[in-house]
Amino acid sequence: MLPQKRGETPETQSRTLQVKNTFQTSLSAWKVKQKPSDSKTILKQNPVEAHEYMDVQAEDTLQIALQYFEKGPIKTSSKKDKILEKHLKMVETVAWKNGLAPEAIDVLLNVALGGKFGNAVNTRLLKCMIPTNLISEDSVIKAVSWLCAGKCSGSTKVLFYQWLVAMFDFIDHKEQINLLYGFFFASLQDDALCPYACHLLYLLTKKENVKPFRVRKLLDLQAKMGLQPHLQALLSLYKFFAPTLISVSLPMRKKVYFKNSKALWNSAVLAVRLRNQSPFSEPLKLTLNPANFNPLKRKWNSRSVIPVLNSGSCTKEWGKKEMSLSECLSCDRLLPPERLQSFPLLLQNIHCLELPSQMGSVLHSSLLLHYINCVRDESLLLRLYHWLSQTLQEECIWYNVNSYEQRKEFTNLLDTVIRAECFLQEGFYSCEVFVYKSIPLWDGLCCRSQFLQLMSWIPFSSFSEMKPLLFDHLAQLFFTSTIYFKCSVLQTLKELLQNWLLWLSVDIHKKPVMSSPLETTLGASMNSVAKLIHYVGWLSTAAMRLESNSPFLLHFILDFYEKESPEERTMNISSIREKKWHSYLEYLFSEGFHGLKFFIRSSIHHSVS
Amino acid sequence: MDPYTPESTPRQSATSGLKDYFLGATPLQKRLESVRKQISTLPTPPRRKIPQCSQLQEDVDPQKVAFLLHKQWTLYSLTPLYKFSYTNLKEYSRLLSAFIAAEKQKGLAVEVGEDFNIKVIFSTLVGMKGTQRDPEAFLVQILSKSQLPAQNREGKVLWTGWFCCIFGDSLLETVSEDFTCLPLFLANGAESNTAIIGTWFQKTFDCCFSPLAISAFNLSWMAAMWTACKMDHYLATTEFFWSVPCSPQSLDISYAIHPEDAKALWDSVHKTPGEVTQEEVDLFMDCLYSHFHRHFKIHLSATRLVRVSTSVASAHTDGKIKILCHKYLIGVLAYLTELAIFQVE
Repeated sequence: MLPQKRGETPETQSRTLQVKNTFQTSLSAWKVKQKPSDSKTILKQNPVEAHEYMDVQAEDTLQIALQYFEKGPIKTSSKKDKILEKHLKMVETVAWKNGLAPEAIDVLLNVALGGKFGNAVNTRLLKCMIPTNLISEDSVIKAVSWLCAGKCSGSTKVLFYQWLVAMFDFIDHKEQINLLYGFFFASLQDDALCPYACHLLYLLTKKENVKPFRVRKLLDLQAKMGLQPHLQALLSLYKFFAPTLISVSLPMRKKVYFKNSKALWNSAVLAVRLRNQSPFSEPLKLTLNPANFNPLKRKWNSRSVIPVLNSGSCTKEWGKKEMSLSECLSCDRLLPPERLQSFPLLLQNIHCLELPSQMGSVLHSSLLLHYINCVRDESLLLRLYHWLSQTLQEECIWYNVNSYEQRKEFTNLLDTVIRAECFLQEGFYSCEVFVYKSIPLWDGLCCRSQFLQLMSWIPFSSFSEMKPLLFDHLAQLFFTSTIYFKCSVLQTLKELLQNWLLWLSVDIHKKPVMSSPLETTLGASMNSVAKLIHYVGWLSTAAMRLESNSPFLLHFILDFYEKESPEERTMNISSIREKKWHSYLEYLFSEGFHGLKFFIRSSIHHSVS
Repeated sequence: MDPYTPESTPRQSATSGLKDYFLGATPLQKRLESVRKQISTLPTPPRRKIPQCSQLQEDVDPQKVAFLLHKQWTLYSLTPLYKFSYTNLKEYSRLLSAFIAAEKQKGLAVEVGEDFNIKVIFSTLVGMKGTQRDPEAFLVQILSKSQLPAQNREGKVLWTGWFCCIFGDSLLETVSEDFTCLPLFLANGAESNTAIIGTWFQKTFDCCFSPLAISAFNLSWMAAMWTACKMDHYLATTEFFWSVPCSPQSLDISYAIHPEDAKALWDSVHKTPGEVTQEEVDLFMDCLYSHFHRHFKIHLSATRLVRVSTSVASAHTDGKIKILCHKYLIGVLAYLTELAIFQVE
């Protein structure tokens, strides 16, 4: 049939692979289509470092299974049942875990409706035909053509129709399927198929499909079979499109017509929708048993934690029935946030930008972050503050039981928040509050790098105020932890100092005239900085003693003291250097002169070598 | 006099971008100050007032609030609602009905026979506030429309939820006028409906719901405070439930006391008139524990208090409450509002 592309590198392999009768693709083709999340799910089960190897194995077995199905049953040995069972199980597990790729669905549809295997096998195959993201239209057309060949049993046909209805939304294009409208309409004759065919037609019908002869046919069927809800559904839809053609009165009450034939695939459909819609969240792990959540913590929408960008259409003023002309003219120029695609567009519309209905969604959009940085709207920031503090508090995994998925979600959330902070080059208040609230309970291990990064973005404030809230707890953790934690903390404190100096330096440049009574003098600010340096000095001295002068630790300590950050230069304040030098001297001449001994020893060592 | 008020330190303003605006008096800054205060000092005040029948409550028609009693409510805390207006309640009803109908019919045509004729009603609850400053409480109900319009107009109530704020001064100070502070949300009905309505509120008013759990510490406070309430006649016995997590099945201990005995015990412990202190609560609970220990040799203080039930109200640690006495409704809600505000801050 169609020629197959061979011998291409993964980068050049086209996505729509042409399928031949004997289905053989190169392993690399599967790799291209495999989502990166697959490796993670396999990693969870089998925490082996070489998870790529596991990836290949999984694909391999699936490919073998598909090949087996393609070739048809082997009539030779009695062992075929076991092999068949093994391959079926393989396909089912992959389908329920991650869904099947469009090509796999293509193959399996042909197999299921082609009548090569028995009824039971076909049923099982159809039941597990869950797509990853979408189903290609061609496979559906081919499957329908198999129906005409009459190779499969009646019950398989029924199941196929049910499957089509359930997975209708995931078929990528429907133009060609619409061309088969007449075929589906003809299948209304079959009593067993009639309800499902009606449902399918209900989904498929467009205005041009409504023809008088079809209407007549439906009315005949209704006369023959009586008032069936599914026929009524189709008739009411026809009446909606072409009210002149139908004179029969239909019940206006909008009842529900169709049996829930999607019951088999409900959870699967939900999972596929999630996969399609939220690229930020983890792929959902499908289980055939409902997962038991902690009832208190069940999330209402199991989508990603950060809300989707929605224009705030609901918060417009309703009460005003009469609007003045100027209001009308200004109203419709509001640009909804979803249409904001580029920076120039933001600049043009900055005065008439409509705010999203949920402020949390700005975390994903760098343009909106720019916007909230410039616009000094307090309610906006309050909304963000409330949302972020509640979300961090609820999602925090060391407050409550943490499963693997929750940990990943929380880490992702923290990463997003940190990215936003880095982008804005300043910290959020909610994160500061979160750090204060959670550090007494923190074990030093959960989400360590993210938490420390959050700490480094804490906005500048008085050191003595922060000391009981943050630094005392941090010191406790510091002294009782490994050397790597100590080094990470020193790194964090260095970044914190840099950030503080950056803000102070900007402050100085902005300061010139106004001196509000609430602002303190530069001296007081520098006092706070000095106290921080002193605190770090105290930590380092004690740490060096605890770790018996480990050179690894010394590197981080000296990094804090020696590297002069550019912020210090812009401040042009030599007192910082003095303070640092002072602390360093304290260390050298500290009790027991350990530091000094080490310094001398290492200098001798360097001069000798 | 009060040792817990810190000196208000002026905030050093590092002025740039977001923070340029925040000089002292803005709500966000006040919020940060209050959080700092809260964390560095005691989390709960050492004394609280015994709930009395407040003046405002005298005006409340007992018939109107009777439907709030004797029902099990699930508790949630709620961040302030943005641009919520009491004049638009009809509009909100309409939008919420449409939203619920859309959610339930997602994906076209579901089971035959399920009735989707529901109506949502928003209404205000007059009198459910502590002080005049508190915002008005409002109620949301989902009713099923009856099939035949001739029959009873009001259909069956499927779900009820209400928002209130009792003595919420600490939160009210820290928000601007665009926000409506109703930190306590109580829901009764199917969880799926709560989820749908909660999602609509979150999308429309940019608020956050979070389930409000009641810790054992707060449950013992509730037990003490409600036992201290003067009652003419007692509707139910005073009961405590403890849970011991052990395998394979957890051990549940229930301890029932005659309400008059509990009141007598409380009166012997109670010293300061009109107020309940931490020491009194501890003493009250210790008496109960030691009595139990004497008979059964089990240290209840080592287990986890899960449920408290008195004639005034009963509360479960999962955040469920049932109020039995109309007289002390406001008092119970005041305590719950305090817990909700603590969680929101």
